[in-house]
Amino acid sequence: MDDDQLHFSEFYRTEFATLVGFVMKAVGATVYEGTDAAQAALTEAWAKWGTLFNPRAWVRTVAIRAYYRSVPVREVSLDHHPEVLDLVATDCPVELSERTAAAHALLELLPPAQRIVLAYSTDGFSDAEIAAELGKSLEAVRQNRHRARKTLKSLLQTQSREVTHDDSASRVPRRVG
Amino acid sequence: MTQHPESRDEWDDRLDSLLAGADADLRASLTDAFDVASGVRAVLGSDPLRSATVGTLPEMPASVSYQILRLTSHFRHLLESGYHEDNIVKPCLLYLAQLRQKLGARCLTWDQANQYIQTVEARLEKMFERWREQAHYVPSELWEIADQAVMDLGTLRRSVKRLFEDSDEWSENMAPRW
Repeated sequence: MDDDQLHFSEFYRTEFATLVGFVMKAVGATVYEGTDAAQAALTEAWAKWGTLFNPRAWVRTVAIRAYYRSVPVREVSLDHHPEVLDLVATDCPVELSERTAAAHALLELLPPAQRIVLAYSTDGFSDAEIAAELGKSLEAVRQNRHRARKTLKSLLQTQSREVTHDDSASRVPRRVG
Repeated sequence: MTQHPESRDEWDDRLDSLLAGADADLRASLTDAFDVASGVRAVLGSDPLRSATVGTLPEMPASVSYQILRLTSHFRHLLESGYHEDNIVKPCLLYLAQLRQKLGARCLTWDQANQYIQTVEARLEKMFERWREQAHYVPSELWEIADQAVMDLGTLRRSVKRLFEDSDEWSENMAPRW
């Protein structure tokens, strides 16, 4: 392997899983779609390796684009193509933990603009970097991030209250008759 | 104006903890399920095409991954042309995406890979039949793209077969991982 290949290989190993997670968080892709988008983005990154100013940000933008390019494909109903049902995985290839499923379920409730900003933010990008990637003003990014967090915190609080309420309700003796 | 640091409370910590934990869990699940080493190889296999654009290098000794991308490009042309049948071109794109990913993750056998290719060929043949019925509506450029797709599928089949035949790693590890 030459130096470029070694650097890219290291980048791939470090970024692949995080990139899949990013596509899932940012646009609600399934694991399968996220994996495909990540692989497509990393393939494109290799073709341009050495010329990318910020590869981490670049692959995220390209992965999102790859995901949206696959949208017409996702709309295909497999029910009409029984001959390949045994080949095409319709179930989730990776079992998500309860924590991941819970977090992604919360993200589903955010408007798209807030969701994508939060996805970048949780991957360690600064507001300025996010603004540059999304072509938005710094203030717009800040607001989206702030609103996203406010909504999620409020949802967490509601969930927490419901759990507490359910717990205490289950301890109250039920009146019989 | 002085910027005040954003105030944090207990719920910020809980939220950050949930999001970080969710990311960590997902990374662990993917690391278990996805063969990163073969993913890297699939990408690096496109080495001769580093400066190439899909669809512009028909005579390059292309890697499997490039051939699938090239086929994908043909089908996207057909999709965008508006002369396709939705239930033909879209599934072909889906099968190619699945084939690319499964080969990347090394989670299918040669028979399964061949089945994908045969399924795409069958769909293309069906499209040709429909086009023949309405020949004057279909521009010759699209016939050429579809013909090229048929030829590229043949090339892809030979390359994929070679991949399974030539590599001990592939033939030893042909059981699906997912």
